[in-house]
Amino acid sequence: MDADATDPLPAEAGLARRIASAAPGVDRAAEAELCRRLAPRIRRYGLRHLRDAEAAADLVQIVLMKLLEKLRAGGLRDPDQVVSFVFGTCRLVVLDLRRGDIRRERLLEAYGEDLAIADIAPPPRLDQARVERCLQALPERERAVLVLTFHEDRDAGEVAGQLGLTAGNVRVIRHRALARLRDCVLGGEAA
Amino acid sequence: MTNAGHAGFDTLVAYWLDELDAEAESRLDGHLLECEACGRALDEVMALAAGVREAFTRGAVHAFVPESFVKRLEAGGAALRVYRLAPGDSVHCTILPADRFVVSRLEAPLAGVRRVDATVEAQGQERQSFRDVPFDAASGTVTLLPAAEALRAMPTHTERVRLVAVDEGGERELGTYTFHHARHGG
Ligand SMILES: [Zn+2]
Repeated sequence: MDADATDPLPAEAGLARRIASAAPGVDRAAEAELCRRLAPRIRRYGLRHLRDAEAAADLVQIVLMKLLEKLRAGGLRDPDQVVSFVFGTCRLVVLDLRRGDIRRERLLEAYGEDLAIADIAPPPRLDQARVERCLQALPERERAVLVLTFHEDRDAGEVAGQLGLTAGNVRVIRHRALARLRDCVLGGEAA
Repeated sequence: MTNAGHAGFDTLVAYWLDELDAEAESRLDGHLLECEACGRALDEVMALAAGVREAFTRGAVHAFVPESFVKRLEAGGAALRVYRLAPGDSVHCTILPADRFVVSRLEAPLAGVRRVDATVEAQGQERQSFRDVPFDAASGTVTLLPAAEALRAMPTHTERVRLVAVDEGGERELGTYTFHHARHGG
């Protein structure tokens, strides 16, 4: 299972090849597997560039539908290019979504039941009660930096401006605070 | 990024916060579409970020923050209940269901001060102490957002906050501030 963590491409290329060669039929198993693998990655791209869970979910659906259409039509000559096709499509669709060119209703109309294909696991969450205990246990400055940073995802420069520190200072405090928080939440060190 | 193009934790944090230059960002965008290991590490960064955001937003933790951050909360539409106290002042205070945050703005002579500690006493007993809290020397304020969740649950009582400046020579009192807290609805 974790072999794909180090060498992911052959698996996706193999699935892409199966989907392409099944035409005019449809290899549902290969499609589902390819979507299962790619969906979390597209979602991460969407969360990072759209900063909105619903918009990121839309991105996943649209990009996967475009990919499957392309593969079924034999439009991707070299299946090794599946990831670069996904990358390029992500970029374009993010621009559309930012402009508000694509609305979820239109999406559902266009693709209907096919949308169920990308029925993927939700992103992982931490034990919130534990996060809160651990965050409360941090030194005051570290908690302040984390709150100022993540309340609206502000970069070190902006947080530094608010606190009268340098961006370098903020990065150092942020690093220490996140390391401590992570150890406390994920390690056994209950606060 | 390190060998094999994998991204370290700090790089992923910088990526999430839009701190990378365009080229590094694009490279990592591409890598994350291929690499499940880095993707899971980014999931962890995002989960920690979301955890901090949720903890703060629902009032589970307190924070000493700069005034500019309070302005930002206000601009974002958060319902704030603000108490402003000079040294020696006391105030009748509460938190209502509609209040998102309570802001305790404590004025203090902060010019030249390097470190500020705060203690909270109730019924003459020290309940909490906060070391080396952020403060705004220019405006002469220490701004505390108490954990709203705990505040809502508190009974009607009186609390005294004491600020001290700390340096090599020891401690120097900056002010005490008294809060007569009334629990909403009794
Ligand atoms: Zn990687």
